[in-house]
Amino acid sequence: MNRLILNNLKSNLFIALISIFFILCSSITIAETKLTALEIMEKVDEESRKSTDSAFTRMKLTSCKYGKKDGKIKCAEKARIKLVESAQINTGDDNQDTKSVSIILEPASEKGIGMLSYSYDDSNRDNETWLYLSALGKVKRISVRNSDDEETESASIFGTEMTTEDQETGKLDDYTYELLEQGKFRGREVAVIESTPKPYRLSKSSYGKTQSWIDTERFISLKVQMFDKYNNPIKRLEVGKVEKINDVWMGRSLTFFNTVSNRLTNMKLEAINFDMDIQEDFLTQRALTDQAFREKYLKDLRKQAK
Amino acid sequence: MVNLFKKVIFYLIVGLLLNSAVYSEDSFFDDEVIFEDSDEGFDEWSDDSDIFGEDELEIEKPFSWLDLGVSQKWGFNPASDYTTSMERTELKLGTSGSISDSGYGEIEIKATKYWPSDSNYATESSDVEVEKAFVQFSFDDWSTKLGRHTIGWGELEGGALDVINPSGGLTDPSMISQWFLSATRYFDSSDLSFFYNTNPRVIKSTLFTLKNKSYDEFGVRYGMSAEGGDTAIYLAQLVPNNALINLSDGLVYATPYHLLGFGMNKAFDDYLLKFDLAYKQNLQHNRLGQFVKTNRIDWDLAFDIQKNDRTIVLSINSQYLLDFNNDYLTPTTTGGVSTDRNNMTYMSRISDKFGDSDWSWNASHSILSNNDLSMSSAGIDWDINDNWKASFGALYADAKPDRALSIFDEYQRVSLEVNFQY
Repeated sequence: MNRLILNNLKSNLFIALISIFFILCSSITIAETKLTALEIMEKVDEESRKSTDSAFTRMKLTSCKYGKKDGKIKCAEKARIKLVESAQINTGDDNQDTKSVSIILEPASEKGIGMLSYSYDDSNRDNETWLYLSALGKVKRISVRNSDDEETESASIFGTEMTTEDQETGKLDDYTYELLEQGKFRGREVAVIESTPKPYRLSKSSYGKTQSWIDTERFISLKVQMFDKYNNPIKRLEVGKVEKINDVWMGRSLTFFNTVSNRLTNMKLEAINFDMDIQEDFLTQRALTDQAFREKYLKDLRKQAK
Repeated sequence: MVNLFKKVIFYLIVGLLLNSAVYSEDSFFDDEVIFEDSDEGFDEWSDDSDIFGEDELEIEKPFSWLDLGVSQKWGFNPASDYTTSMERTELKLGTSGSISDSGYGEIEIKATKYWPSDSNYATESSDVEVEKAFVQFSFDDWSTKLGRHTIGWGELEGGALDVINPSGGLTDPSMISQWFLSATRYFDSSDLSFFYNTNPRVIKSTLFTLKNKSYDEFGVRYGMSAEGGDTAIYLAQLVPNNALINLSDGLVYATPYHLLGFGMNKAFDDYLLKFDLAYKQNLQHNRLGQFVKTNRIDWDLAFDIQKNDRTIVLSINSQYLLDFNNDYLTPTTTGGVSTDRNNMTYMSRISDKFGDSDWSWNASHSILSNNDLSMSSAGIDWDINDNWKASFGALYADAKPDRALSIFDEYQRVSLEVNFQY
């Protein structure tokens, strides 16, 4: 009797173990990608570069203080709107650096303000930014956040909740990556990857770490949670309206929530085109000071943009 | 065998349920966002989230080609029972856009109405002036610009090389545009620019007439841009922005001088170092019983420090007379006072944002002309929305008696300005 019970138990145990093996296998095949966290981030960076290479965009930056109404996020004040045109190319070794120029079209009080930015992949090279101040008739170099002061944040882009650090691509070697989890998020297979800046990068960063929800098929971020250096969540990026444009997956609506100040900025790409004929000559200080040159160039780009 | 198969299916179902339970407990895939304060949980984020009320945002601006600005300015003198010293309304109308394929133009006209309590009302009750009016054409590596605009030279605003456009003076540092013909040749990482002005603006008291004729003003700038810093060389014949009283004959003069300059900036971490150096030849100066020409070295050193939204600017400016004589005099309203060989000015300014970035404050302190004048100012700006802005400011000056700037002693001003821009 005992032997029968024992045999039965063994049989059940064997079946249970087989089942668990199959279940684990099934869960692994559902969610797990063979790529490491770093490899996933490299692919994200690669895709991101495709969406910025020779790209012309017209974007609407809408910012406001937000609150919750009827369970939905709503602006708690009249939103401020900036309409910005931007042209960008990848350059340098292996196209790892970027050059961009952005011009404010609206509001009237800021119309014509231009910003030229050079962003370098090499962490030993500091990014560069220039602004054109028409009232002073000159181009002014802006000192970009690079110091070791931990309380300093990177510069806001045109007074929005987006910062220059949020726009950065590359510099993958400055971070360590950990794959936290994999599974389904908003109907997509995602990997949640935590990026922690290495000590030399930490001193230059506003964030102690970030967690990114990466679509492992399209290799774009669907959501990014930013933490301060004391591990408190401080900012969140939600990516919406994901579309395939010129064979590149990208979000046409990016919303940055500053969860400390309760302000948000939505960046809506109203027009975008890649692989455009943007010469490096255009992305110089001339684009800021020579409006005739700039308008002529932008007019051509506007015709091509969709 | 059937039992065995049933058992396998049973354990698989139980296992899968457990497995899905594990996932559902995982907050990474829970789309409800929980902020630090648990009351701030939000519903699921959706592509269709209507945060802004899109209909409201899509409203097209009528007359989008027109730039309209209206300002109301008040100034009060605290030293005199807050009597109104400035009350004026300004209307600005402007437009800008492309002209043909390679041209661009901008125009802005300002009309000012001075109200009876405004100190300017006695001279004029209204005024219309062209603030900006230029056309610019671009061909290959060349660009030309003709019309009324502003040209900024040097690194420090108001520094040793920022001498082309006059400013509104110590109490109003805004630049006054002028009529120029300018051209620039662009190279790979440098540019060569040239300007010419047949009628330079000279600031002087309405009580005086310029004795000498009007001179032409022209200059060349060669700028080079490199990673981490920019440099430029300057060469010019310039007319002084402010006319000088000849203490011998009581008339005012603005005679050209020559300038050779060098400017550079260099970014270090959060700091931007700025340096200007200028050799100025044939500057007019008063000596005892004589009106002579002299040479001077001007230099300034400044740091721009950026910490989040906080900006700090620290600067030192020096004017050193090369061929100095002890009987050099600087005119005042009542005569002349002795001139120092080296004239130092120190300035510090800080500005920052507060209250969700809609508000900003600023404060500055300047020590001018070897402490002949000390000037402090503070202000608050309120960015009400995309159209409306308001600012409040206060200024106090303390000058040494019997020195060149003694006219500013005990100068006090409280100002309020409201702007609408469309």
